[in-house]
Amino acid sequence: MEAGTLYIVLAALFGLFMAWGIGANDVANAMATSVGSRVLSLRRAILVAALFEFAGAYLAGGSVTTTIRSGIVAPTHFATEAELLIFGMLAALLAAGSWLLLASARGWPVSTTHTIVGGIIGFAVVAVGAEVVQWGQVATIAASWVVSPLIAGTCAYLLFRSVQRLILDTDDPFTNARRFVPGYMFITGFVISHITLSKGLKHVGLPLSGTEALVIAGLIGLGVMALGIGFIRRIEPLAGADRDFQFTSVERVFAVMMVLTACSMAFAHGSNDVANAIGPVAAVVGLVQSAGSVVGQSAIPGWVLFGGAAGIVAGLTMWGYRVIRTVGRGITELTPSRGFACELSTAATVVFASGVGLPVSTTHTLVGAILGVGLVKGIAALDLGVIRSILLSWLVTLPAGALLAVLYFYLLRALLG
Amino acid sequence: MSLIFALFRASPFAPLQAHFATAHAAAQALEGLMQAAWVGDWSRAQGQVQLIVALEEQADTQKRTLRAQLPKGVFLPVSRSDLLQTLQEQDAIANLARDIARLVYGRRLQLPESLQAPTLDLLRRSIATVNEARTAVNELDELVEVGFRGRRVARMQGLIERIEALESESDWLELELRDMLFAKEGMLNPVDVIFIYRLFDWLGDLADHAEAISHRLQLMVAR
Repeated sequence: MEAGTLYIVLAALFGLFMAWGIGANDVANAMATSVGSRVLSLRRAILVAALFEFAGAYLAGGSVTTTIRSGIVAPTHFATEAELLIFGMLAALLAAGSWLLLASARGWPVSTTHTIVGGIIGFAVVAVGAEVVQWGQVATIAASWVVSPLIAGTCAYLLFRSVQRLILDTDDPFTNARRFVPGYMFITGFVISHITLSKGLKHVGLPLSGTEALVIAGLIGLGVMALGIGFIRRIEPLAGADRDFQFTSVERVFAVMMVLTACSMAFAHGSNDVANAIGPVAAVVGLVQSAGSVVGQSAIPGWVLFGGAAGIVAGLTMWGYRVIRTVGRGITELTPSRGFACELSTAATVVFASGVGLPVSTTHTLVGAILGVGLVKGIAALDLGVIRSILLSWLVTLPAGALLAVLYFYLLRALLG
Repeated sequence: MSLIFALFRASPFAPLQAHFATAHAAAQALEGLMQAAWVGDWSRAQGQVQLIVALEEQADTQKRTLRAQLPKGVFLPVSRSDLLQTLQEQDAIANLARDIARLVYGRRLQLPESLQAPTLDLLRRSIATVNEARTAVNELDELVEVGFRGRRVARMQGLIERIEALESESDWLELELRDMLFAKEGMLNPVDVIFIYRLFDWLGDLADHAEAISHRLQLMVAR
């Protein structure tokens, strides 16, 4: 393929632009809960996000990337015209990137995941025909958009109920917080690392057996817990605090917990959302390198994953911090005892989705978790209008992504084809 | 706009408590007004009236701000209408304090000496009821923190019972005062008598509104 290098360069550029957009905008939703509850300073949130977004993208981002790359449309359908698929993937990237830009400028809440999926379906239907779309897989993805907020909401509901029972509604909340919070830390470390180890690592060439994954995850959980206990030991109940002020001391224990769940959130977001940017890039690279012979189920090149993660971190440090600051200021009502339940539920749900290769919206999942805690009467006031925004983003973003991708597709074909 | 940002609204509980603090202060200022009135110090009484009127206006502003903060789509751990009713009752206490102040000062209302101390008792008992209701409303913070469950709910139940007991005490005091006034009616200016009855009525109403708040709180914590 003579224009191969050009295609790869274009794909890398568009993918980087998209990753930058995700870092600049989307990461804020994942990190702002920690900043809003005053657990992390802005500077630390950026650091945590950069580190764990990167780790998540690199270690657990493979499955979703594969889905975006070859799960929605099967490359085999493009066997004779690999360039159509290349134009399509470039168009989908451009569509999602520019839609994200427009939406951010206009203040619309949109989901990158929905845009890129819409874009890929859009060009495929127009360029070749509805039969190339793997509708079964698309239906699974669409179902996961409804199910992921529900699962996270249920988890958060149950988690916060357990916090009520074990800690908040007891005679000595502070002592019980010190006793039980390490347990939640173990769960966090274990669950996130276990899903990653058993589902994600095969993409970086580290397949583990079931027992190995269990043992290593258990060790990671214990390590995280030991670290957490070290920090919690240092927290003294506030001097002169009577029963009424005990909750302030309790929240300080949960603040330690929330540092951990903030890391998990960044990891989860990286593992799922980086694929929106690099899935199409991986597809283009694979097609070009196999010189059009579409057998290409080769591994995702390391530099592509790396580039996507780097793009997210760049967007985060160049622009995303402003968004985190703004959002963080708006959600001061979320105290660490709830924030951790929301973040842990969201992170576990999203990392699981990443493991099985389903592109979901981290933001929508987090909204589900927060509403779950709201149902336990744990949050002072929530605006249910947000649910309408989510439905709207399902209804509007998909067609918008599709339409833009079709436009870009024709444009690219006219220019390059 | 970020969805997460749009999801959170400001807590209505702190503004509700702030509004009650204002209404409570207005009611408390009545004691100074009556003491001034009964020694005939009308310039000090006027100062108290002005204070009460200012507090009532402040309460009105706080009420409007809080209401604007609670449109229909907002999801609260308690029923929105219970919350708005609580606000209404709190505001009624401020309004009543203003009406009582204007009644006493406007008519330069004088009480027979034997009735002055018991009237002050009634006022203090009603304000004690209001005070207890305020303690209960201040508990809402802790209830949100634990998620309206368990021990804190039991504690709220205890406060509600205290409020009801105090209200019925103020009821009895009002009844006794009416009997005392009835026995003296013949010796007093009839127009004054009408307004003294009204004064007793309104002083009792202060406790009634406090009790109404406790009933709303009861509904909030009921499962």
